[in-house]
Amino acid sequence: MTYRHLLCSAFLAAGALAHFSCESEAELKLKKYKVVGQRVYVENCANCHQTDGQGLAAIYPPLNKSDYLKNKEKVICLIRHGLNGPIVVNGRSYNRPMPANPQLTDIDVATLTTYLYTQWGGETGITDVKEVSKVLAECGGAAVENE
Amino acid sequence: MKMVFKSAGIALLVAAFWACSSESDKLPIYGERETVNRTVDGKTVVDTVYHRIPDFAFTNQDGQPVTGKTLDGKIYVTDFFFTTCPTICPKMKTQMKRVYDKYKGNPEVMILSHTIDPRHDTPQVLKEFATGLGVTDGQWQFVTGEKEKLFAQGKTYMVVAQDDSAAPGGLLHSGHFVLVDKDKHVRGMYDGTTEQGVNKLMSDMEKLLAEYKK
Repeated sequence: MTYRHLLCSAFLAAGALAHFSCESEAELKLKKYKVVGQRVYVENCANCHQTDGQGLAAIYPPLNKSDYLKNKEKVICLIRHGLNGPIVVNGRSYNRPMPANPQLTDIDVATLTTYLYTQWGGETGITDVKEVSKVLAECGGAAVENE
Repeated sequence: MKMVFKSAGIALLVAAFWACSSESDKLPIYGERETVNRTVDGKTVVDTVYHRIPDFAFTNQDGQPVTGKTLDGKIYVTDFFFTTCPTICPKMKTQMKRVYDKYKGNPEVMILSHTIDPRHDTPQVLKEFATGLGVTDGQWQFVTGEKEKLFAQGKTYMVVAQDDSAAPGGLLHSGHFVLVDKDKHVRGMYDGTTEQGVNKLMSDMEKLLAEYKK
């Protein structure tokens, strides 16, 4: 493990072998994030947003191919702190409060965000917990307010 | 209270058992029942009196009164929910929407959803919710009223609705959909949070509608 790790660091710039083994570790991590993220989604979100992410009529907005996903930092904040006020998703107005989810840890939010964005947001990479923790630290404690 | 549940449970069992031994295409009648002796032409006849939903008076999403009369001549599906409930209500409404979409425009079928959070769920809030679901006519009634009366009404349908500070949203209620026939008898209870439960409800609705075609 350490040996491989050394290889990785040593050949990071040029070594094909190293490149291969690093990438497979990253692949593995992404897979893990997706699997855990899906579980977090089913347990905490699918009630309203539905298993397929299509939402429900004009009551709960869709996440699947939702244009709101472009506000990734907002999405990360509202998962934790909830959301108030009217929003427009894919041209349709919604105005129901989303409850906060204080029970979700940073890693929960990171895996969930990864699941959302790879499943329905057209992303292929991971949303790492380091990145998520940074965003969450800057959210403040209140629900995301929309005008 | 426990006694009530116990006897309701026994009644349910009796009803279920009784259903097995009767014509199989007929739905059972749920709830307490009593026998009454009547005299017809000098002979004593035994009549069974079934549990019926007593009359009520609530207010709907248009601010109009809704009573038992509103549902005369209809079979109806009823449930108890609240618009801000974070747990099972969204699932229930997703499933009830399937029932609504299937029977839209059928003059023999109605849906009656009671809020158990009347302080928040005013007729105006219910109207917004109904509109959001795509309900624009009176076939699906969303009603509000005095909390105690709404809770008591839940009991007549044999479902639970009560305050519970430990529950998410502060209210506890069951996720049941109850099927009521044109004589205000309870004819079925279903899990309103699952697709399977609501599939069963809709196939039983077909059976119930067929009873009136004979």
